[in-house]
Amino acid sequence: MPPSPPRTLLGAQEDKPKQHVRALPERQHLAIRFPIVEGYAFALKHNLIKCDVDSMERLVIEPHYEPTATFISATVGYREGSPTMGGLTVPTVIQDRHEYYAQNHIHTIMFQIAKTIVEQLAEVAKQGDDAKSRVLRLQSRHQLFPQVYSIVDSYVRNKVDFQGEHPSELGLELYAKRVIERIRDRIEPDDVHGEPPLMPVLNRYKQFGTTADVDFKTTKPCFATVMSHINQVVADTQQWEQSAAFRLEMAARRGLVKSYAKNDRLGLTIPYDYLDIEHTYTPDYLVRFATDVMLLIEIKGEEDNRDKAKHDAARRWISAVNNWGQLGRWELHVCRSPQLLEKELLERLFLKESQRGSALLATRSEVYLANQLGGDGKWARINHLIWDAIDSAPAKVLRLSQVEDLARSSSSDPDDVFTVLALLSHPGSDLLKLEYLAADSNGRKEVSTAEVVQRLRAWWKDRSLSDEQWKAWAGATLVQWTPFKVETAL
Amino acid sequence: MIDIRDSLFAFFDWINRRNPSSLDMLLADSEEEFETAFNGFLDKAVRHIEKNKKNFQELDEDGLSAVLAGTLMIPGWLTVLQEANSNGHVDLTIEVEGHVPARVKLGEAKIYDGPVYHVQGLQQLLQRYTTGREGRGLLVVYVRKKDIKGLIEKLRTHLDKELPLTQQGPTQDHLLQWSFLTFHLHGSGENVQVGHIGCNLYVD
Repeated sequence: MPPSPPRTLLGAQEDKPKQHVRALPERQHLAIRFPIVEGYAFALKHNLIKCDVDSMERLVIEPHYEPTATFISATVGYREGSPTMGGLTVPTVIQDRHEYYAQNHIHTIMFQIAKTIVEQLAEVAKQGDDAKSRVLRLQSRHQLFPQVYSIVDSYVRNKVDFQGEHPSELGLELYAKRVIERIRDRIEPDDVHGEPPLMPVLNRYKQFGTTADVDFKTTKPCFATVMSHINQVVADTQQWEQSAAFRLEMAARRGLVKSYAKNDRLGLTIPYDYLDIEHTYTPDYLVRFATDVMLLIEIKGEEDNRDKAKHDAARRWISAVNNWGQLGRWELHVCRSPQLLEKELLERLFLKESQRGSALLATRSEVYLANQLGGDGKWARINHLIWDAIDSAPAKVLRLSQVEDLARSSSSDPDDVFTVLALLSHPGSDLLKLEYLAADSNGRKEVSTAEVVQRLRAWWKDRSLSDEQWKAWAGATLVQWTPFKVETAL
Repeated sequence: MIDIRDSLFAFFDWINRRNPSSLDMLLADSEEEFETAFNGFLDKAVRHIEKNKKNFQELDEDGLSAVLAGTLMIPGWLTVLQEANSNGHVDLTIEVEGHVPARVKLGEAKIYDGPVYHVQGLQQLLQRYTTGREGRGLLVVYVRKKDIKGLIEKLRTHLDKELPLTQQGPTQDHLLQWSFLTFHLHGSGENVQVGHIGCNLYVD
């Protein structure tokens, strides 16, 4: 008789295997620290403010969610079928907001929005009850209002998409509240003109969070990491986390990313208001970028207005944390599709690259070499010398004859320099490109690898090219390495 | 006119002087031709490491893999990529460019620590054979102990007796010294070849 199955409590679910998600001590070098921000210190001495309207999220008037007109007809008797069948038999009345539009001009609405923002800012600045503070408070409204109105005007002109609707639609509470919250949260003291900058208020009991604190168990599916301090990424959704983590691993192997962590029970949250209610926002990933800039990465497909409020709050958080400056520079990266994340990070690097010469490519290649060849200092020395040589050359290229000099300067063997050049010019590393150039009437033209193989074969294998012929052709073909161009990479 | 030191002629002259089997390997038309040339190429690389073994005494498996990779690489033509695996070991992928399609060899490098550890390395290598189309695999065995000849023979005896990982028949001789071949049945029905290459790092 077969043994009976073990008895279980009625209705009890089968135990799922638990995954232990934790920071690995041997990966301490991949650890990420971040500040735990509870609020912001907004102290004005001269009532001078600024707001980066260009970087703010757009506001879209949505008549499909908030109709601008309705058609009303009296209910008369019974009607069979759809009202569209055979047309409406009873006259309809259109109710719209034309009367409201006539009474509330867009400038009146903008005035009201600015007034509300000023009141809220003055409330924030309400500190101290001495005579000086009272005078400052009285002065603040008339000094702040023109500045705030100018910001509101700029936002409405540049960032509000009316979708063809009447501008006074902005006066609806739904839209006005969003504008108020967004602008209020992005207004900062004008530190350029003498105001103390916006600063974060850190949690007094725990000022910093770190990936080292992550230690929990989950029954959700997980997958292993290599370039993260935390051993596993928990898959909260079917695809997105996996795709994003995979892309981050790939980016790390290409030297775009030094380390990353999923913001899962890490404790990095950002406070924000949405329609007068306080919320907290949790970005998806923290990434130490190749340039050592910390990225808050948000993976978001379809964005709604609440998401836009979150992103504006994240930008305020970043501005305050960067002003504080004790944990490096932070930036926000909103990714619309995890599949594009690696490409977007590459674009981001090249954007910086075009501003700062090849220094960032050199940084990225150093990370790439360390991943490939280990931490021996000679690889970093060779790498720096290669990029210095390229930077100082008028044509921004490295020539073959420079290899021996580089080997001498780095106290290494020419073979080591070739090893580094092989890795940096490997397709997929997107760091250097090996080029063969032949002289022609227009200067030089690139010779394809296929042609080199063909000529090499004719000389070495088929013997259809004599030594002299090979020397004449190959001796007139230039070999050089050039920094990878972004248009090729994308 | 260009400086001859910057030319393609100088480039291939360096490649040829560094390892005389390079050009035969890069221009191989068939798998057999490629393997023959690659053996010569690998032999030179292994001898180079053995000659400089005193410099590598402190290195672990990853460090030795980097040394091997450095000895094999030719810019634009042969790249050895090392990818850290989540299991904690490093996978070697040797990509010979210039061919259409590019030839790819899979490899692992292990410091000799007995037959059981060697079989683990072999398993890690065979796990990466996904299609069965991949060429002959490479398992480099760095031997820091005395008597590499005896140890490799002991290893062959173990593999011949156990026939681990669907090994098809006994081990076979390899052209290189202290090296041998094994054949393993892949899910595709193909026999995957693995070259076990001994590298003597013993220092008195």
